[in-house]
This record gives sequence, C-alpha cells and structure tokens, in this order.
Amino acid sequence: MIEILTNYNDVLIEGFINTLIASLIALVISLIIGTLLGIFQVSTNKLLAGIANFYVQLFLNIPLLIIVLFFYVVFPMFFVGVNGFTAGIIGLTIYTSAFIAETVRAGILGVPNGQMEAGLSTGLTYGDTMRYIILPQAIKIVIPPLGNQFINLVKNSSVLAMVAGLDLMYYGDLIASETFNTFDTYIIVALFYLIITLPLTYLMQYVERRLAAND
Amino acid sequence: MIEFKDVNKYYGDFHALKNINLTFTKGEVTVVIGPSGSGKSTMLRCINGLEEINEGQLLVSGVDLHAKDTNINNIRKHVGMVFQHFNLYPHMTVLENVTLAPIKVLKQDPKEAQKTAEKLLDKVNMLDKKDSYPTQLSGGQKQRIAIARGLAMNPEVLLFDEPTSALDPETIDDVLDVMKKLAKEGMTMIVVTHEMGFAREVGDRVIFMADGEVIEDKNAQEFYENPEDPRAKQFLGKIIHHV
Repeated sequence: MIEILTNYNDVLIEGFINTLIASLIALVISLIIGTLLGIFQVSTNKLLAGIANFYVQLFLNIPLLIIVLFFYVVFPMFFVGVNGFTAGIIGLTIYTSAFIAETVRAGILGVPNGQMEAGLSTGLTYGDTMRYIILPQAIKIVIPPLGNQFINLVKNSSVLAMVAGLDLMYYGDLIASETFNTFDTYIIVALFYLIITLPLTYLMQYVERRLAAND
Repeated sequence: MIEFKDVNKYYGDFHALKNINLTFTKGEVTVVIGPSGSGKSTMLRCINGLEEINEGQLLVSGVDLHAKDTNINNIRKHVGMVFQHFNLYPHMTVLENVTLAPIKVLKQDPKEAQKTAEKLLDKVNMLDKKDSYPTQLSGGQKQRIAIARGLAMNPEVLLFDEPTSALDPETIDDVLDVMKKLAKEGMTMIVVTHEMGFAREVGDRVIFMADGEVIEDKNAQEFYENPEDPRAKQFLGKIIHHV
C-alpha cells in the first residue's frame, strides 16, 4: 500500500484535485440552477412551473452516466468537442440540479401555507413574500437533505472515470491495471474520497446544529 | 366600502357561497357567526383575495376584485387580516414582524416604521416583547402582535378570522380587550367569531351564515333578543349554553 502511495502520489494528488474541482464547480452551479428550478416548480406562473417540472422529472429519472456520455460522445458530433473532464462536470451539474430542485421544492412546501397568506395579506407581492418570509424558513428545512446531495455529488463525480475525466477514480483504475494490486488501490482511492466527504458531513452537522440553536 | 353583489363561490361541486349580497360601511363593527362550514371564513377571505369568487361582483373601496386588471396587492394594502393561527413570521423578532410590510410595501423609512410599530405594540400591551421571537410567546401574545402587524399598514378595514379560537381560555380576554379598544376607536372591523360577549358589547351588526347563505343580518342587540330563523335560534342556544 505504501508502495502505491509513493510511486503514484503525483497522479493520486492530481486525481484528488480534479475530483475536488469538478465537485466544487458542479456544486456551485447546480445549487444556483437547482434553487431557481425549485422556486419555479412552486411558482404560480404555469409556463415556468411546467418547464421546471419537465426538467426535474427528466433528469431525476435517467442515469447520470447517460447524461455524461451524451455530452462526451453525442454533443461533439453536432457542436464543439468537449474533453472528459468538462463533459463530466456538465453532466454532474445537470443531474444534481434536478435533485437540488426537488429538495428546495420540498423545503418551500414545508413552510406552512399560513405564512404565504400572512405575507400576501399585508400587501407584499408573491416575490417579496417568497424572499423575506418563505425562503428564509425553507433554508432551515432544506439544509440537511441538501448536505446529502452534496455528498452524493462528490461520490457521483467518479463517473468522470468513464469518460477519461482524469479524476481520482480514473487514476485509481489506471494504477490498478498497472500494478494488479486492486485491493490496495481501491482502498486508497476510497480513503481519498473520504477526505472530501467526511469533513463535508461534519460541516453539515455543524450547520444543522447552529440552525437548530436559533429556533 | 365593501360590497358583495350576487357573489357565488364553488370548491369543485361544493357551493361554498350562495348569492351573497352584503354591504359593509366605514366605522362599522360586524360580527359574523354561524356553524362550521357555513362559509363565514370563506366570505371573509374573499375580501382580501385569499379566495377568489367565481360569480358576481365584489367591490372593495370601489375596486372590483374579480376584474382582470385589478392589482390585488393594492387592495391588500388597505385590508388588514388577523388569522386564527396568528401566522407570525417565526424567523423575525416581534418588531420585525410588524415593520416588514410598512418598509417593503409602503416604502417607509425603517426608523419611522419602527417608531410606528412601537406605538402599536404599546397599544396592544406588547412593547416589552418587541425583541422576542414568536416562539417565546403565548397564543394570546402572538395574536396581539398579529393585530399590531395588521394595524401597521394603517388599513381601512381589519378582518378577523376566528382570532380567539386557537387560544387558551385565560389569554382570550387580553385579545378581546384589544379588539374592543379598536372598535371603540372607530376601526372598521369584520370579525368571524363565536365570542358572543364581544359581539354584544361592541358589535354594531351581526351576520348569521349557514350553508353558504346569509340567513340573518341585523343590529346586534336585535339579533340576540329576536333571532328569526330556526337555525339561528338553535345556534344561539348552543353557544349561550356553553357560556
């Protein structure tokens, strides 16, 4: 095990950094897209709600790998070529956005209806009621399941290995095929994933406790 | 200032409001009573557009709520509402609950809004709790803050939807006292309630509803002494026996 770490530390670190970057980019963008989609889903505007619902239902129900392969293989046939790393990030973002949208939608619906009525009855617009009354309360409901989505995102980023995305899993496979020491290699790769996901888990637990203390 | 003209409302097949014709005038305190499911809350909620009417005309300050080009937010600025379950914003302090709409809707200066809010909180005897959060308060306290929140918009009329039904008995009087004070100051109020003491003391008029219809609509004293419809008699009998 030590041998693999010393002989392959450069690619392991490169893979680790690439996994981290891919996860971070996908996390930030899918958080923005997913939150907007979640808000659109409960919107009274039928067109916006319809588009958001279609998006969410579509990407919630097809495998991540298909989306990634679509951008890696199909997309370049009609438009510009994208490398595996980029295709992977695009796929992860599109896929995770749907899950975050569902989480945000559930959070908004978790706020009692009376809150919306109270806001509207004082003359606040729907948008202002959302912004000042509903969303601040929805955030507390959304934080724990959102943390799970973030952790899933990091683990799902291993799909980059399938499209030569130069991530942790990709280099893990490479090392395993060179050394034939699959046992040690995959344990090392798993430990690297834990370096990202465990602190994330503890961070979410901390945030959850802080929010609970404010109640 | 509020006029129902042949208003009908349906929930699917259920005919919730049947040909309602009512007029509410400025300075009047109206008490709406009736058994549950009689449509009294629905009628009240139509006035600020929380429920939409299906047929007829509903005029609030001369504006037809049902018309397509009506901006309901403009109406709501002038129509305050107090809910059975208070619906205070749990993530804001008492003061923030009261000042939110004046700042965001009326574009009041925050300092000025705060001053007004403090006056109103003093009026409902809750000034000492201005920095508390709603979860730290009793039901009666919450409801008095909800009243202050409604008053902060300086509305032409204040609607009350069973304001004491969710309260512990010992806190009801605090809320009723505030409501009586408002009534005596000349506030236009429409109150859905079962509090007969309140109706008798400050109510100018009682509307009795049953099965989506207005059955009786008369002077409060007269209603008590001489209810005509058998349903009104029966309902009154039940309530009075309880007290």
